[in-house]
Amino acid sequence: MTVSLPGAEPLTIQQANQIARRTPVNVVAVFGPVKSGKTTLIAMIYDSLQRGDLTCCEFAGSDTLWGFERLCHNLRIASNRTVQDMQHTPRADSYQFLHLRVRDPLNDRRYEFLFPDITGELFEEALDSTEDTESLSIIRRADQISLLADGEKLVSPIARQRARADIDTFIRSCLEVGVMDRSSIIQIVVTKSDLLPEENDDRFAEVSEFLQNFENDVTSKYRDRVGSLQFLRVAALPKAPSSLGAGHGIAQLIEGWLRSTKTTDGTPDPLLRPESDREFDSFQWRVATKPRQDV
Amino acid sequence: MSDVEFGVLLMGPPKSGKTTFLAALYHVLEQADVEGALRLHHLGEERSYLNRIRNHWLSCEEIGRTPEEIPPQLSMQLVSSDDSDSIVELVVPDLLGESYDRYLEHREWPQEFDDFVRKMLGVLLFVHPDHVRKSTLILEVDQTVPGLVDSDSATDVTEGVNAWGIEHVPTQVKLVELLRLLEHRRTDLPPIQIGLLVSAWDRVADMWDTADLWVEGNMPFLCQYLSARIGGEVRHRVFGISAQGGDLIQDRDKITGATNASDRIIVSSAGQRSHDITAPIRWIMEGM
Repeated sequence: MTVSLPGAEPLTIQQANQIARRTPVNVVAVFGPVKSGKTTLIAMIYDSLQRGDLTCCEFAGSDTLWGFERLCHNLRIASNRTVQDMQHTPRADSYQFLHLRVRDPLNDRRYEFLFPDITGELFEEALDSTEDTESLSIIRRADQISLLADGEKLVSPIARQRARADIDTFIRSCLEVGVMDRSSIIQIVVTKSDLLPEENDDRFAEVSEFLQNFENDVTSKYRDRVGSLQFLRVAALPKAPSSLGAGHGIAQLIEGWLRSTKTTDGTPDPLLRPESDREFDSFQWRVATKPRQDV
Repeated sequence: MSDVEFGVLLMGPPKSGKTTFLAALYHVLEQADVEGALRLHHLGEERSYLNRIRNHWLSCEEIGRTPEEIPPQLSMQLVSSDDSDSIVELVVPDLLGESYDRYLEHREWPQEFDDFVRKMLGVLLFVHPDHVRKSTLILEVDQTVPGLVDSDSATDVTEGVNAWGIEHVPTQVKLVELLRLLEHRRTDLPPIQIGLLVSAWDRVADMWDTADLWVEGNMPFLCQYLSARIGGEVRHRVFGISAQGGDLIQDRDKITGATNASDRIIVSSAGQRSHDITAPIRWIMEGM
C-alpha cells in the first residue's frame, strides 16, 4: 500500500486558489509580446534564487519546483544543447501558475507569489480587440504587472517605434476597459538589456534618447491613472559576449515587487469567488473583487 | 526502561555516506568508548550486516554497495548514556538511497515509510561533497571558454537533446522537495527537526571553516529553505562528519594510528569538534 504525495508541477487555477484562500498571495503577471522574454525572466529568477545570488530575498519554499526546473532545463548544459533555448509558451485552455515563497532577510517577512503562465499571443490579440483586452482577467486580478518591452526591438530603428506603440496601446486599452486602474502596480521592464548599446557605442546617444523619451511619454500619460509606474532594465540571460552577468536587473525587479506586496501575515484574498470553483471556465473565470488600494 | 519515545529517520541520496556513518556509529555504540555518546539498547536481525560493514570500517577499507547484502530496512534502538529513560529508534528505510528519486518522480511512497514519517521526531539528511549535482547554464560554459560554442553557426537540433527528467534536477532542489513532502505529511503534527550531515567532511574542511559555510556556499537554495521556514519553528543544524577520519590512502597512517578506532571519527558542528558520531541524534533528542 502506498500514500499519494502532492505534485510539483504548475498549479491549476483551483490549486492556486487553495493557496490564496489560506494565505495572502501576490499574483505577479509577467506579460508582454511573443518572444519578449517572459519565460526566460521567470526561469532566471528561479535560477538566481537557486544560486543564492539575490540579497533582496531568500528562497522559502515552492509547491511547483518541477515547473521551475522544466523551465530552466533548456538553458542548462544538462539538456545537452549547445544553444540556450526557451520554449514558447503555448496557448492553453486555462491558466497555470508557478508558486514561490520568499523571505525578506531585512524584516523576516514571508511573501507568497503566484506567476500565471500567460502566452504573448494574448498581448497581441488585446492590441486589436477591446473584447480580448476585457478578457484579460488575470491582469485585473494581478497585484503586480510586469509589462515587458523587448530590448532587442527597442534598439532597432525599424522595430522600436512599433514596440513602443504596442506598450502604449496596451496600457491605454487596459485602462479604458478597467483591466487596469488606479490600484494597478506596473513595472515597464526592458528585457534583453545586454543588447542595448554601451557608452562607447556610436548608437548609445540615439538609443538612450529614445528610451528616455519613451519613459517620459508613458509616465506623463499614465502615471496619474495607475497606482505606480516603474521602469527597469533586465538582462536575464545575456547572449555572450556581454559585460552583464546572468540575471542582471532581477534583484531590482524583485525589490520593486517586495515594496508593494502583501506579506503572509495579512488577510487572504482568494483568486476565485466561491461559486467559481464549480463554474470555472478557462480565461473567463469570475475573478474575486480585488480590494482597491488607496493611491 | 520506557518504550521508544523518539524516532529519527536517516536518509540521503546514493553515495551520500550513510553506510560509512552507520559502520562507525555501530562501532561507537558497541564499544561505548566515547564520552557522552548514546549507547545501543536493542538491535534486530541487522547485526550480521552491521558487523560486516563495521569490520570493513575497522580495516580502513571501502565499504561496498552490494544491493543483495543490504537489508531492506535497518533500525536500532539507542539510549542516552546518562541513564535517562529516553530511547530513540534510528530507522534507515533505504540505505542505498535509490528510493527517494522514485518517490519524487512517482509522487507516492510506502505506507510503512509514511507511518514512520508521521511519528518521527527528526531526520538526518546526508550529503557528500563529491556527489552534489549542480546546475550549469549553457551561458556559463560560453563565457568560461569563449568560442567553445559558436553561437552563430550552432544549430539547436533535437537529436541528442536530453528531455527533462528527475535525473537532471540539482541535488539541493531534490532535498528541498523531499523535505517539503515530509512536512506535507505532518501538517497536523509538530515540525520536524532536521540535521544536515555533510559526510567526508575531511575532504573539504581545509577550505571551509564550518560545515554551515560549506552548505551556504554549495547548497544555498537548501540553506535558505532551512533558515526561512515559517516562524523559525523548525530547528535545523549542520554537522560535518568524517566517519573515516581521512582519505583511506593518503591519510592511512593517521587513521590507522589512532589508539581507539573511535578517535579517528570527526564530528564538527557549531564550532565544536568531537569523536561523538551520535551527536546529531542526541541533538534531535534534545529538541523535545
